[in-house]
Amino acid sequence: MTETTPKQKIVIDPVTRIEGHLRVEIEVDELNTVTEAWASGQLFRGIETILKGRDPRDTGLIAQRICGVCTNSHYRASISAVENAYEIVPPRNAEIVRNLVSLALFVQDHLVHYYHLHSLDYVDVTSALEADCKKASEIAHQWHKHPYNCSQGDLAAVQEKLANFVNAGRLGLFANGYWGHSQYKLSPEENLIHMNHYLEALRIQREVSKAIAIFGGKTPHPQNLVVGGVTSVMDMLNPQRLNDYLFIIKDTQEFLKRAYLPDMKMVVAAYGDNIKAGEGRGHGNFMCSGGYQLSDDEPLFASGVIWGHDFSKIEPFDDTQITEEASRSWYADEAPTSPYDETTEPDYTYMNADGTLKTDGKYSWIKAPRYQGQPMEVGPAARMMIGYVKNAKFIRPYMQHFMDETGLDLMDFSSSIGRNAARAVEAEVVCDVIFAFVSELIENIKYYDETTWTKYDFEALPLETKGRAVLEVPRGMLSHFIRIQDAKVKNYQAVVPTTWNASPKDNQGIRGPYEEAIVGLKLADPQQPLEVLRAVHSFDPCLACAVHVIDAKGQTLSEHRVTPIGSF
Amino acid sequence: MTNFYDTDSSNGSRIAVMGVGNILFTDEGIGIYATEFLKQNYQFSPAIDLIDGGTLGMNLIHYYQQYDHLLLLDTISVGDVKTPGEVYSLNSDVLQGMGQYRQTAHEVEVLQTLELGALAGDIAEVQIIAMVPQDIETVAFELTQPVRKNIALLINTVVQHLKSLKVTVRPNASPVTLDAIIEQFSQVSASA
Repeated sequence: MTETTPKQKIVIDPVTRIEGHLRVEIEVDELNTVTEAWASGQLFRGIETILKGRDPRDTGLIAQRICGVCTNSHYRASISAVENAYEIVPPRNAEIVRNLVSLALFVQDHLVHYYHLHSLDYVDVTSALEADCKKASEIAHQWHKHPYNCSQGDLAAVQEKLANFVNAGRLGLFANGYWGHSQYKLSPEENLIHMNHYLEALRIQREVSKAIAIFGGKTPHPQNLVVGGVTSVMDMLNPQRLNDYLFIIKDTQEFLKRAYLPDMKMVVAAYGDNIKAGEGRGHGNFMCSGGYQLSDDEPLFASGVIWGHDFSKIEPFDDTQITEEASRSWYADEAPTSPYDETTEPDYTYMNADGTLKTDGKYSWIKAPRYQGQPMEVGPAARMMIGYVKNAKFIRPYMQHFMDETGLDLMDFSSSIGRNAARAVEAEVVCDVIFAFVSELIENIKYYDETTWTKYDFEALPLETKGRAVLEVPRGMLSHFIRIQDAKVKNYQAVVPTTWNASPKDNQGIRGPYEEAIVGLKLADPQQPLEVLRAVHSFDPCLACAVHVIDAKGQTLSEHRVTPIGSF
Repeated sequence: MTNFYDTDSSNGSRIAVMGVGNILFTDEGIGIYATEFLKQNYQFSPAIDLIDGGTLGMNLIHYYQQYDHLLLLDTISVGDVKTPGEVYSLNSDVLQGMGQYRQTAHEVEVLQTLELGALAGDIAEVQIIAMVPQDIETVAFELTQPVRKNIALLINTVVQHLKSLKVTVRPNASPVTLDAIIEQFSQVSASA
């Protein structure tokens, strides 16, 4: 190369294989440090067009289809928004049953996110094949007294299985990682321990879905919720069903404590320098709406707002401060607007001729949600930090224990690996708290409180009203807003966690959280921007739910085309 | 109370047709509508399961593990030239190796789950029967013309594949139209 440019532009369209789902463009300087970033995404928009004019009691059944993975979360948020509009309070048992589904989802989502969707940013599969199994077993015992499935024999079996898959070459999952990248820091033995739990987690997460199905009904289209309560009454009253649920959660708890948490501590230790360097740190604005009230009125999550990493004070959270704007998004309605009044009028201004984003103008299908005009990070890190600072009964001791063992301080959770650490701690907290909810439910039933639905007369409800639900779900804060007129839906809007985190810039030019987390990263190899993927993945993005087409591009498939009989 | 993951295996091999996709986005719902169309218009012997799979992520794996044969009805994108309405029928082995880790956002895709499923244990023989969509962006309970025009080809491809699995497929006397099926989905109600 004879020519050097001071700034190089890199397009990463890797973050998804589906066109336009999540695309990141970055500018790097001559030292390979990221100087600017643009995150462009396609996210579900236009739910109001399909809900307008419907009976408000039906919105949950449609809204749950926003995402097949987060079905239960959207279902609950939608039903709760309608209840809020009508001031209907579901009975305590219904609340508990809803929580048992929601909280099990947290555990499942966090496990899948970490092991199957993200860990390979830190774990080098190919290196695991070179591990000494005896040594690996010894190392596993250093991280936990009784590590999960980590005898020398267990590990040898896993290693052989992995080798078969990798050698067979049919596992695309492992075929295209940045294996051998200089930024992989675990030893072969540590990589093997992780891969072992990667496989175990496949089984565990399947079991958790069974637990969810006990109260939530069959995925992907549950029908267990109605405005005013739940319908899974018989499941709640059947001791065998409760027992099945508890059994699975107990088994999962073992995995969390003996595999997930020790693995996370191992990663934190190996990547300690990256954490202390603040890799993947954002603005430091965090927000949580709280929720999941326990019997003694103590909520699992504490609500609040942290500004600019100032952990010395927490402002109260007020959902009326939420607006969305679209000055840099492909919509015509640009001004900051309350979700109650938003419209969705597309204004696609196209990409550049070379297929890159028009970074000076509109560049994303995601709107820019703001709280008091500022971008906010939502998710486990926000919840764990706010819970810690506010001394939340359940969160504080778990966080303290993890921090004592790893040497992390609160600031460290605001980083790519820190977000993962917070997610692991949260999984443990949530799993333990599930038992408290189950105990309360059993107590209620024992004393003949079997109420699961609050009766209401739909005809007597106000014809015109509005309501919202702001709910913490695995990926962060989810809110649904509904406006009702003549007893029908007049307007509807959902602001999902990924909208907050993957937000584009706003009319002030302020970056969204992904963008802010990426800027400043130093890339070891701009051709393999692993550091950028780590930052983006650490937020647990949920984008692919909107549209998913089997993508067979690049394959010659004409021979598989089916033609009507008689033609060829 | 039966566990929904357990299926009746008394009749030899376990077979299911599963539609995947999102009915909120026009042609994205092809697989779901087609599955429901099959359910309401045909009798199958031995009995098979017809499943609305929505946009399941990892949970797809449970279904792979639960059946011997799974026919996955979906949308497909082939090459750069889009010819809406084209139907493809392929064994999942053809697509193995394409569910690349680093190229996925976060939610797993069908191809990735196939590979994860294989890693987790024995999985069904998966046949993907899919159509190239025209519009997967407009929010509407609808199908576009090129898709409608070829829906019979899609249905027939599924029927032929089931026959190859020794399933007898008999059409019902009074057929339910595709429009009626779509209408059922758009009129879903909890208040009725």
